[in-house]
Amino acid sequence: MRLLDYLETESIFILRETAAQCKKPVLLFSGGKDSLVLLRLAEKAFWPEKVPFPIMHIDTGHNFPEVLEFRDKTIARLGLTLIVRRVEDSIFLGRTCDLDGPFPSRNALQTVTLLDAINEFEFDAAIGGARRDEEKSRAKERVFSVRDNQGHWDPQKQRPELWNLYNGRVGEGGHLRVFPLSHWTELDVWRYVQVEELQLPSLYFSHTRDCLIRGRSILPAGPYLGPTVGESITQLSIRFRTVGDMTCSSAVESKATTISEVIHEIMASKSSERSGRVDDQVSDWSMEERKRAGYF
Amino acid sequence: MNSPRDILRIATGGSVDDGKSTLIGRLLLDTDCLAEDQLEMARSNLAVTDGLRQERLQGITIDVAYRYFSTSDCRVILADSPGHFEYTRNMITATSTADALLLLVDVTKGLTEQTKRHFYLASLLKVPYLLVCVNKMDLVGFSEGHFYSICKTINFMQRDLSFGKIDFIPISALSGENIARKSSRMPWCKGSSLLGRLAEIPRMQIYQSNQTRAYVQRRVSIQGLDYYQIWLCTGKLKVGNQIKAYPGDEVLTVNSLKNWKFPVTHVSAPAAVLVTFEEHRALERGTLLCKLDDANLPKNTNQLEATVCWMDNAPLRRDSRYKLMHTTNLTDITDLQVCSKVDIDRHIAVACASGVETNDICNMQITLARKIAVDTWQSNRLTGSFVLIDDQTNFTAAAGFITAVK
Repeated sequence: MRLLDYLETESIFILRETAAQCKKPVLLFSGGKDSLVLLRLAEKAFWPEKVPFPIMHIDTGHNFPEVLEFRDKTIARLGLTLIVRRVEDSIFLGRTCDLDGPFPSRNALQTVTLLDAINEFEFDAAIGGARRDEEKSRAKERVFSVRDNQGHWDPQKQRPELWNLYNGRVGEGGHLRVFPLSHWTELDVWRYVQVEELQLPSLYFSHTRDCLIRGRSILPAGPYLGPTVGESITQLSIRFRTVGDMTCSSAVESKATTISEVIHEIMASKSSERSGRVDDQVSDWSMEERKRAGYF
Repeated sequence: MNSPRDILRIATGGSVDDGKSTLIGRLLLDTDCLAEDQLEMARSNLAVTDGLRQERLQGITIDVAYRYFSTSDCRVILADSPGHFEYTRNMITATSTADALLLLVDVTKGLTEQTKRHFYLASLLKVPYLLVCVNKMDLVGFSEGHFYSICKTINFMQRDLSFGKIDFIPISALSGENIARKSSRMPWCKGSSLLGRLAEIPRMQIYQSNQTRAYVQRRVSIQGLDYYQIWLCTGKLKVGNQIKAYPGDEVLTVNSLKNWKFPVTHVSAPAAVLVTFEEHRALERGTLLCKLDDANLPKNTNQLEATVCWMDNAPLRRDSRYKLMHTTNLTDITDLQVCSKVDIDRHIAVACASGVETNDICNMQITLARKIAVDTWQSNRLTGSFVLIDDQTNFTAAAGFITAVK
């Protein structure tokens, strides 16, 4: 059996289990490549029905306009319901506030908005496109991952997950995070995008942009990131490997303008997908801490 | 630029400090699957799978970690399970879908209690291929004698156990001997390197069987027509096949099979497909579909005998309600009798005097509130297994292997 066929069929099985076992799931969608793959899998899983649950995006207010436009078009084309909840609103309501320092990232702030939205709609499962190969604490997370009534993850209390048996039961006020792409790698996602001929936001391909070089990261210059005093703008030919919150989506220098050129570059590349992510560089445990608090 | 042709699922086992994490780091390194930033970490101690803070602080692996690497023709999904005794449940989790178990033994220490237990569990779980990796050969000057003395002990231990296939290999994970390439330091070693041996074993065996077993995940009714979203877990299905639907005994004919919107004439496991039948029957989620002409058909029963590994930190409670999850069926349990406990050091069943606690393995008789269709673990790993769910905490409290059906 070919790898992509296996990954696809397993993910479809997981999506259907979520729909069958949970009362009110939601699919988290950002317009990024992983969530686009997830959406295609959901289309396939439920046909001839439409995807039987709503799609939700948590907008940090620092998202790329191209990606938001792309998100709206995609959801409209499939005739699905899109829920958008904004970090701005959570800040306005005093539920959270921007971090100190120049050009603070709003990435971690999404957690509050996400958990509030899950409570608001009483979702009992949030399906996400996270993969185990992305980061070391994710490598330990279950496909059906339980969150308590505070939305918190406790890695020590994870349920054993065996065979094809996914336990979708949750207690009062708790919910599940479901990760159908757990076994996929970055390269698998790209190959699937290629095979399925999925459209992607243009940011994933090489373009010229004003950039800042900060530590190991190449960042897009602009209102949310600067330059700060003493920094200079460099014009570079880049593409983004992730297209989430602008303050933490770092770019790589690239000439790749097509999917197969991107695949070639990734195969030759010597750094992992998240290596330039500012939020993971804060401490060795940044992801685990954010996840424990209820992050994606 | 083709994607890998195949998938191989492997798990690791062995005692703490026998070098599992080092071996995994080495496999990733030698297959060129570590990115540079991960490599820095790997070079510092090679423990690339310890992803949780508690694990780094204690210098041990607590939870199953999944790693992915590719050989020339195959994607390997590796489940690294911890070596501490209190985490035996993780080894069972990691090996549940594995094609092979790499059991590490430190040649300088020989077999520890934990290695022996993992060895016995591998037999109990019917792991298709057990590869005993005798590690740290560099510390004994790559001596043939040390290696064969370990093999001899294990061969003596396995006389009363059964394995699909068992094999031995001398390695040094730290210096990379016999991992990706055959070691020149151990010319006396017969057979290929570790990766060479893994390349030869059958893949995705859990889905390979002559028996056709599929179960209903969801039913969708559109304009009076029932579409079934099913999971074909073993065997093959063709348009025109005569199907028996359990636990009832209706016979149906496959009218169409679809991958998404595209019709296909046949599918092989594993496959999440869409099926329609010529006959109109409203089949429920959990219905088990089998080919009428299969040599072995499942049994309808509400009485199971099973070997059960207790996984919950809370002991088995008499006053607690448990549910049994088998395929896509969730069934109430009306009675649960513990017949005996397995002494994993002596490989025998003993009377269960005290309660059933975490990591205990026992033999149980389970009575269900209604009949379901099951196979034995011996004949099908997917339709012969189940988990028990605590109805109050919703925790997956135990994993079970059906040994007999009444």
